[in-house]
Amino acid sequence: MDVTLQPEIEKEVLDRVQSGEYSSTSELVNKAVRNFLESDHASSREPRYPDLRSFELAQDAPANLEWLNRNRAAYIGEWVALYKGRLIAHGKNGMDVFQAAQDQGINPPLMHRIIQEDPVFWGGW
Amino acid sequence: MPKISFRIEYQYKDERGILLPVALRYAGRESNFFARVDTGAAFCIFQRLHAETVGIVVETGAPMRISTVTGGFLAYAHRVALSVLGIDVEATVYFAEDPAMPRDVLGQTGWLDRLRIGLVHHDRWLYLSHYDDVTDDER
Repeated sequence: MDVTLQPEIEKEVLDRVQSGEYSSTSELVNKAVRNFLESDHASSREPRYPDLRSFELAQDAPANLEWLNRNRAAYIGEWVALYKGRLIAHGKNGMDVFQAAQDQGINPPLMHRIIQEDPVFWGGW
Repeated sequence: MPKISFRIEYQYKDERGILLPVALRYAGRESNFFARVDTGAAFCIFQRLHAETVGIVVETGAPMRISTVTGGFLAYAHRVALSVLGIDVEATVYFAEDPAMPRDVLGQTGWLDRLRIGLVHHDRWLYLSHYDDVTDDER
């Protein structure tokens, strides 16, 4: 089996082996894959509990959509960061808007880019 | 006549399609946004910003050319956790390379194929369960 590692991962692997932490690249890769598989099997056996955060998002969705429908025209071409139907930040650079919302203690905000809707209806992919 | 029971019922209100609130998680970070349900889309495809806000370096994923009726664009695959209306899945999704690509889509692979879904669009009701949820008949 030939495996190609990304350059930064390969460098990390070689550094660890050269430091003596592992006797060979094979030992390190075997251990890493074993840990991954054990973790993956364990998580697949765990019962699924409802995700409260996504319920909260669903509860807030009508207020956020109402804000978007009411204010869309004023923010065409911008990203908006919303929280419980309130505008937290807006601007043309999405990352700046996200960080502005985080700076106000909203983490994460609901991020939405307002685009000019096509005059023809969206036909799907 | 077959019957299906669902875990979640959700009334959507937006006339621009079935928009659902999505929590996308990666490496302990989370991005929230609305995505449109598209049963005709082969994959889940999201805007580049949503990858960047959770620390994903988009171009490190496997590239794929996505075709649409209006052309095509390059996107990169990444494994993330998606939580929609309280239903969690781990999925390979695609992030557009071009930051100008403005759409977020929940499609077949990674989302629709993990769910049982019911739709009464006349009344704007969506019904959802995880595919593996225990049904009334199995209790």
